[in-house]
Amino acid sequence: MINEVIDKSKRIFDQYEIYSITSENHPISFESNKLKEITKKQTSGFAMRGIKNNRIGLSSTTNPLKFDQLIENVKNLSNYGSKTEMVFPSGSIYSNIPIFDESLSSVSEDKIIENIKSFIDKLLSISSNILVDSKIGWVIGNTRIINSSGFDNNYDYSESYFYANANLIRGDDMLNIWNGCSSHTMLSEAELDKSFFKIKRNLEWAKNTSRSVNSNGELPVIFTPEGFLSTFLGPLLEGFNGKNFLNKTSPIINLLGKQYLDKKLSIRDNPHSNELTGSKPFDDEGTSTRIIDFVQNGILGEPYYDLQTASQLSLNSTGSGGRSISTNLYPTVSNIEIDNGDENFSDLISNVKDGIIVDSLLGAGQGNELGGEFKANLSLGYRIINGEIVGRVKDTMISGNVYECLSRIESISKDVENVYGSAKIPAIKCTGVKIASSN
Amino acid sequence: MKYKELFSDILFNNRSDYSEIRIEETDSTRLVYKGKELDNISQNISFGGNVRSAYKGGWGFSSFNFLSDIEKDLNNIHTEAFLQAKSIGDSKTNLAEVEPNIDKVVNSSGKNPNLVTIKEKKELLEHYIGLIFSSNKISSADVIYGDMKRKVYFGNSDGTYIEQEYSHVISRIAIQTRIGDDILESGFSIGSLGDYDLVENLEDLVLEHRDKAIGLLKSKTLSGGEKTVVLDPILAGVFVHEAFGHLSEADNVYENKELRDLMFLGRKFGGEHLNFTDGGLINFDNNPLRGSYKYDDEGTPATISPLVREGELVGRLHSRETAAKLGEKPTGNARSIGYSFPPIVRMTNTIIEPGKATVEDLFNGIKDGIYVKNWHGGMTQHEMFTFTSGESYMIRNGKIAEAVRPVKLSGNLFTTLKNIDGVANDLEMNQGGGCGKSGQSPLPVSNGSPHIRIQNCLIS
Repeated sequence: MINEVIDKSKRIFDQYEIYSITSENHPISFESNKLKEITKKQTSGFAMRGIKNNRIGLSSTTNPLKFDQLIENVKNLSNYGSKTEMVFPSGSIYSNIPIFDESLSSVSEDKIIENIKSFIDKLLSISSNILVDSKIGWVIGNTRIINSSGFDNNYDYSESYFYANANLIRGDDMLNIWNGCSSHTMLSEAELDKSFFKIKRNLEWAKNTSRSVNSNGELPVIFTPEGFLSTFLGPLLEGFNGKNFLNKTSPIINLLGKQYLDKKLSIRDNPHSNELTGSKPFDDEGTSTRIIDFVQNGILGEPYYDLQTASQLSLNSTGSGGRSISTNLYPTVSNIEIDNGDENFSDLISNVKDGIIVDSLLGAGQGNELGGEFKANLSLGYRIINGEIVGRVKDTMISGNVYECLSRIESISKDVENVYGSAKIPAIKCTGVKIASSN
Repeated sequence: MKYKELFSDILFNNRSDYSEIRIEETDSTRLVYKGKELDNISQNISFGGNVRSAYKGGWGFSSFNFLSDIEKDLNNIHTEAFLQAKSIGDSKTNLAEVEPNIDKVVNSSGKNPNLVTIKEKKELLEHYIGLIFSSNKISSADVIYGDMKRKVYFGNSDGTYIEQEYSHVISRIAIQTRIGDDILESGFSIGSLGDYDLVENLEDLVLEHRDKAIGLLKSKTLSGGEKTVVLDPILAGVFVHEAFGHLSEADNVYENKELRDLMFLGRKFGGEHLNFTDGGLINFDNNPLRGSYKYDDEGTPATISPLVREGELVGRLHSRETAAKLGEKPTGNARSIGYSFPPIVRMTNTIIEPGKATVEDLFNGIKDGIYVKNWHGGMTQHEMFTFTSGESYMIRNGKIAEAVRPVKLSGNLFTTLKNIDGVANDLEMNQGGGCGKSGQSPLPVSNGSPHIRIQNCLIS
């Protein structure tokens, strides 16, 4: 079938590309401590781009019986599509990254279910009132790209994932703690244990509620790895997104190569990580992936681009083209890695006289992310007084500018943690973060 | 009726307590402009479906988007979903009774977007872009248009068979200005149940937001704290959706005794001026809204559900399962975003009913407050909520004064509802939003409200 499409496309377009995926996902859901639903999701689809007279047409279908209509749509849209100078890649040498684990094609459902049951039992032994919702599952898939430059490659991938949300209600006070992990191989019990200890630690920290911060001023704030991801990653990645360089909307457009952030900070995108789940040999338009340094010792590095965005700026793609079957290509990142510092996490806390720990935010990303702003309610935040965690703070908002905040890093923890399987991040302490609290 | 015989053959001869089959066809078009340039234009054709099955309280679900032999494949997928359910069911399947329905429905109104060519859609957007960039103070803009036609074939083992067609049109225009590193934005989102008219004749609105984006260049950032706040109908609608609506979704409470004790029917949340309602049958100016439909995704007829009356909790939103477990009536709120997801309890059109006060009454007597308008986003986690305004203005001595940088409002549901001390009489609807829950986003919903006033609201 594909060959017919290729033959037709050759006759119609100056350049063409076919992106096809298949995957099988097996999520198992637990609701309120009980096994609720076993599911299977089969997905397949084709997206096609055709370039004619330097204009792009894009269309997709999940129905292979509608290939003729697909080509017709692409042809029609290429009359109106955006202008382009890009050339589809012909392929080169790809890194061999282990992202497929054959054992995920024969998973024992029973064993997984037992593991989650014992995970929930362990949480219940901390407090019998806890209600846990959880999802665990595994995916196996294949991605294939064919284009008119002679590229025809595909890769198999696998992923297993797990998350749990523990809910505890005391009167009108509700506590929700979320954690999860993912891996290209089957998640081990040790990885589930890490999530368990994270939830347990938050339950301990939240034992008491320290309601009011008594200040609408600035405090030192420790961001846990999860807290860092929740607060800073969104605005930072908007800032480095090639689209925002093209449109001149990134606030760091004139700052590349300059020492703009704290010297202790180094951030990169690493699509070749053996451990994280965003790894792949080539991106979603066939460009080989590579490591991209966003920040090196506080100096701003380079943005990330897909083919079209890069070509509009006469640059090369950084191998960051991302898409789903039904969406257009956009620049995207794979795995974020942040370098560690030299302090123990416990020392970060014990040095604080009056401050806050941020573990997760509610409503981050709704403000002016593009401008580097963060402004959100503390979903899980804790008060530190004289080096001790005294309890959870609620009804409290944190705000500031990402770049300003990350230029005032006091210290970074020695340990870097795997956050949800998509990033490796240490804990980071910043000074002078704006906190507002209701009385 | 396309699949009526086929579905009933598969569904009537099975050992599950309950089974349903869904097949969906969607066609969608999307145009996106970044700045002055067309970023992308695409058309997507999607086909797929699922089978969901219940056995002794356990659920199985299997989705697909290709069938080579429709009858054989559907039979196999049904068996698979049943076996999944059977492997975990250990109690009793409990579903509220719903009369079987056989029906064919078109949920859309107005000018059909499929009859407008891509060329015309493109010209319309480029006309707006010309207006936006008629001032050289504008640094960039996002202009998005999308339409979608979705046809759903649904049958269940109770004998229901429904063919339901939906059509949606949405647009978002956001206009940016910039001082140094500082990017400021003013914009709006609109949507309709398939009426293309909605996106035509937006010139005045586009120019209004262009000027607002320019006005923000001179605005100051407020320091955080508690203030008296007046919300416009759009933001108040987002508030009732975020802060209250999600907590009234019964799947949050049906297995959670503590939450049920907290959200018991009859609990007093605020004054007599508080009246909240949700429902797929709610109309506005005699027109259906973006969250309107005749049957939900379990085939249950849509209703109008009072949630709060005179400050007291009187109802909640249900699927068939949550209704049965709580001994309440199903409300037709089980919805799924598409065939690869099972239906879960969702809102439809959610409103704060109009009160007796005039808008002026709400502003009267406010010495130092904030008027927040328009919508930039919102999120909730049980009793905690936060939402962002699109525009904010100082209120001084009862009058709207200078614009300030848009503020974010946060709070605790229980205290905030008590702090609402004014509800005006000017109900307006907001149809530009989409709702996200459990990975299913954006689901078409609408919300609405008159102007409301909140005392001691935390802003930053």
